[in-house]
Amino acid sequence: MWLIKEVFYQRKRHYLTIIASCIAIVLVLLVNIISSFIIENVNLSFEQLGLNISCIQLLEKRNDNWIDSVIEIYDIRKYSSYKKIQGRDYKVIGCNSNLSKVFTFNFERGHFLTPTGNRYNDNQIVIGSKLKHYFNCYQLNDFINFNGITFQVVGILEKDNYNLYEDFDDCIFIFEGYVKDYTQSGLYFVSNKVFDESYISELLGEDNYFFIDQRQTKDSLIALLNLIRNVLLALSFVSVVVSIICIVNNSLSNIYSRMKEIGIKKALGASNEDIYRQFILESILIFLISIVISCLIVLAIIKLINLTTKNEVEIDFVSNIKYITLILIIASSCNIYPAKKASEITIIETIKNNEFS
Amino acid sequence: MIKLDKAVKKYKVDNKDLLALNYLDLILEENCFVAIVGVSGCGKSTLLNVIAGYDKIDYGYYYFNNKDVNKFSKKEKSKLIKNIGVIFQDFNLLEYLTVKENILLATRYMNSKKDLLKVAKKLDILDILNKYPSQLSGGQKQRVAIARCLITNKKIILADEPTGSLDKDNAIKIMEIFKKLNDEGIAIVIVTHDENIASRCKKIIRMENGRVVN
Repeated sequence: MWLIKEVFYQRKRHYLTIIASCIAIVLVLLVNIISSFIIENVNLSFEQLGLNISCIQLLEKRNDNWIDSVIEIYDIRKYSSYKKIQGRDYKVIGCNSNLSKVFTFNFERGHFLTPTGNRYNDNQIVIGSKLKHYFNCYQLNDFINFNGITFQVVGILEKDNYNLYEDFDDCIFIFEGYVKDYTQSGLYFVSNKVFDESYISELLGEDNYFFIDQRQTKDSLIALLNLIRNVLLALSFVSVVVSIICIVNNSLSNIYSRMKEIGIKKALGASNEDIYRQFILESILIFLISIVISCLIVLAIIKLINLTTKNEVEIDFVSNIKYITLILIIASSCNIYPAKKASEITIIETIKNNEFS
Repeated sequence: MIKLDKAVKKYKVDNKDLLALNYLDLILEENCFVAIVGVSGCGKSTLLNVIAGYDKIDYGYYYFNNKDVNKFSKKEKSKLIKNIGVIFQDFNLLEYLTVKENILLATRYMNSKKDLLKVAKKLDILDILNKYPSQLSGGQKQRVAIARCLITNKKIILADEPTGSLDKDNAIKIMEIFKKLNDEGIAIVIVTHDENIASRCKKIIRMENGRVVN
């Protein structure tokens, strides 16, 4: 209570300290929160786009056994094939729970996935927008006949699907149970494991495949974003250092302007340790106040960002505790020197300073 | 209780040594009520600072309860400061604390303390306990400063021009309080240049050029 009262009375002297530490803390928190949000979203987008898988596209079929070898080695469960429908090639892409994420968003009509429990319905299908005319299917839940099998249309892919694969307009997406029927001229292989490119090259011939390692793309992008975050964090910690220099300077000048108070307390029996403790506790309290103010500022800024950009940046102060604690420790330990200086002031110095009596 | 033997305190002024205490000899008995008088610059305040333990002498001896203060450790010095209460002309109250908090401030650093209400009643400041120093008159402020000394059971009170900022009535009131405290067994040493104030003490010590002259 005494401490709060003392800090409150001296508030004008602490404004500069509070402002400087708030700027530093807000910078660190904002950099961390926003960059974490970006990284998390990139990660999520990659997952939604199915980019957490590796993909290989064959340009030419070499032998009959390669599919089985690749499937066995890379745990490939889904693949696609071109299928000629009335003289035209259509891609038929099978999907599993990983690849299916590609199709769970950007749908204007319906959802591709209609899970029944944890299983997908085998005789359901999603068709590309060009194919709706071909199949004469303009609404969901229509039934179409494809290669002698009747499928229920659970999704119609409209244009503007932002996918890794460029045109899905002329694609048919079918589910696991039927994929096997279309594997003979397979083109795409997807796997949760990383392809060994040298093996694929040896197996298929150097120019006969197109290799997309989406994980690599994702990892390098995430690594880049992490690097940017770390650089920004380092820069904001530079601002912390600048603030601390400012705080130490301010604390030192505070001490000399508070000589009378120190003198009175010492005359009343305060020891050097009492004065030292008081200044350290004051600095901790000031930084705690700064942290609370900074959190409120960050909260307001993030709300504003969410409101103006229609994003949903989440504020997780708990995950930022390590940074906050680090700043608190650095800042408080920087006040050790001013506190020590204050504790070493003698009563006679305060008297000679004409402040005391 | 307090003995100064050939005490010397030098200050450097314009590269020349100025003797604020010039081989000063002084004995202050227990329960004394003494006024130290003299012109400005005669060494009164320096003597007070030395006795209070704020400053140390350059030469000679200072005995407190028969112990050589020059040989005191930091802890013992701190104990000496805690044993002696000092009252100043400009009261030295902390503006941001109430009267009550100002009085209790001393108890933050000391174990022994008296009942606040008893002390406040004795000094007639019961009704101003929750006020701030800026709301008090000079006389009230000085009584609060005295209360701050009393709350921690000081046996000696040194007062540096305690009535310097007060009108005549308030000055007399403060001196009456000092007399009352002295009757209760507290040693009072007042530094003043006011002969009227000094005449209210049991003993007057005159100083000139850093020495006691009577």
